[in-house]
Amino acid sequence: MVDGWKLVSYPVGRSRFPAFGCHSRRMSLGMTDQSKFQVDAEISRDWSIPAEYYTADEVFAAEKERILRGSWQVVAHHDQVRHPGDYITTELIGEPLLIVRLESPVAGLLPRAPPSRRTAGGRMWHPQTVPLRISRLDLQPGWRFDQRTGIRRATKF
Amino acid sequence: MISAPEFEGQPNFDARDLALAPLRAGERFNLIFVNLDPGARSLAHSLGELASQAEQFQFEGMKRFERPTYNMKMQLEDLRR
Repeated sequence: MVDGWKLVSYPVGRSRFPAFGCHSRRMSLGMTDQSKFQVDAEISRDWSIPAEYYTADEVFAAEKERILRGSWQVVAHHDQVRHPGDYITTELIGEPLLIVRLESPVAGLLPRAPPSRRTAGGRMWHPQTVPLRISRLDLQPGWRFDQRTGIRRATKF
Repeated sequence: MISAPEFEGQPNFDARDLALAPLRAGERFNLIFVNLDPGARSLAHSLGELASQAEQFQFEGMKRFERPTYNMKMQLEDLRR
């Protein structure tokens, strides 16, 4: 905190935006050029984030890791996977997703890399680190999925 | 993966690479939620008061119309006015 200036951060987890509710602390998104942003000392007069935060790539990158990766996000509607066996593919912050309607409840599946190729975080798989584009897996005709174990058969792959 | 006909023995091909890992998912208001963080709090906990507030909108009776592209923060700015 500099006199008259404020480290750019914005509150997440306030009841105002429950969709952000995975973190309860104030979060700095890494932009440290405080000279760009002047915040009214009477903070209650306005509540908004600096304009650059709406479009800056580095802010979005930080948000993906610190907000979107750790919170619940809507990725589909019930109608898209209404019947058992229905599936869709989609993406969430770059992670390819396969959403399959089991008997009940909905289960999501995420392509998984072997341990040797896992990232430092240990959990997430990134397409650029493996030789096969598993994100396209759903587009191969003849490939068959098993709801529990993944692919069963990849004909003429 | 059980088998990949005509692809056995190819370099950089390991059936284990093609396994699918479970991902946390849940359904509420006819909307399907996922969370990439295995250690995240439950969907019900994360929704908090929103769950009861949303009941008045009767999402279950709505159909999917389109998936728009918009700036998330602009959307939130509109909502709080």
